Amino acid sequence: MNVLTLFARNLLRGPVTDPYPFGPTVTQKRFRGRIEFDAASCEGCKLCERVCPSGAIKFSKDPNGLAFDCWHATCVFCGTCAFYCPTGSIRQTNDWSLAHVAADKYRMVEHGLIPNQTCVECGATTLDTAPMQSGVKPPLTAEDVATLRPLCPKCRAKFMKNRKAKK
Amino acid sequence: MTRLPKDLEARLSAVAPSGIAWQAATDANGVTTAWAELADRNDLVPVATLLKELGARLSMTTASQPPAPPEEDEEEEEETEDGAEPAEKPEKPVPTSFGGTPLDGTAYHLAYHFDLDGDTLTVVAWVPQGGDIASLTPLYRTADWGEREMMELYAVVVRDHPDPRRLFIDPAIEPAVFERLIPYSTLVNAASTKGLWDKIAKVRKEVAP
Repeated sequence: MNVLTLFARNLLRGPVTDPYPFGPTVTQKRFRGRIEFDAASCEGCKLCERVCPSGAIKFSKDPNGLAFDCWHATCVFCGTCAFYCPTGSIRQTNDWSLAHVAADKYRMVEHGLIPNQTCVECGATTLDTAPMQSGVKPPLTAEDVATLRPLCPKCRAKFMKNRKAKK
Repeated sequence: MTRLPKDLEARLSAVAPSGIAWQAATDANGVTTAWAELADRNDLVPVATLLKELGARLSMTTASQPPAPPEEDEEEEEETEDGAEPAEKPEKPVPTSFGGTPLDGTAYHLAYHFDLDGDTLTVVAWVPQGGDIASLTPLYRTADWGEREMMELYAVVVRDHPDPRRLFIDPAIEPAVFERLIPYSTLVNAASTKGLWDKIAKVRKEVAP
């Protein structure tokens, strides 16, 4: 192509780069960025902590329950946690703007808390985790999930045993 | 559509009298990935001989020492038993591999990756601590370096290796370095120390007490 035609076209079209950060820019929907954690749907299996290649995920006991932390500064955005998560509680958003000043580095954390609850059956203090669904045959119904949720692991196991016997 | 012979599993079973655990999957592009775990590691040479006759190439060998599988529900037991009488725990038997090798964290998992006309067949042999394995180097020249590496990284004895010299590590260093020393990848993995998580927790308390 003639260099003059090219020049004229570029003059007409203007720059093709985004004016970011002074204007809007586009991010693909499937961009694998910052980790997001949803404590309400988490089963507390800690598989994400185990598979994380960079050790960015940490579960720790907290007086109020089980705390989840993902330090964005160590995360390599590989998505292994989201791949292995049985409930989809951990996922990657398309947010990539994680620049921060060094003083804030320890605040670059995705924090979640699976709170404690009291088992409605036996009164034991237990974690309010989502009931485990994978590999359960027949699959849990919405009612089953609602019944299992406020129970402790032992009472959940009892419920599942009775459910199996009934079928 | 697979390029592996249809009766490969049966033919391998025929030359490995102790049995094989067969697993195969074909992906959307028609590439088959098959795994054959040997019950007895002494069946390795007959199996490799058969594969040689079928025109297989040995791409690579991988040795590892997998950690013992974690004991399940250990933590939950602790949490649910507070105050109550601890439930009697029966002695759990050590889990074993398909062929009966105890998986206590000391056994070696040797994987021989074969290529059969574009499809992959991995033959797995378990070697217990102190055990040995026959060399495949007389059959496949590519096994040479892999086996020498196995011998210096782990305490695996490779029988009848034609040239059992050191490969990378200086002869002055004791063998089985992976079992005595800290791997470099672990050494440099300082990103998530306890101190780091303590700092993160401290900052969070300052922000939201």
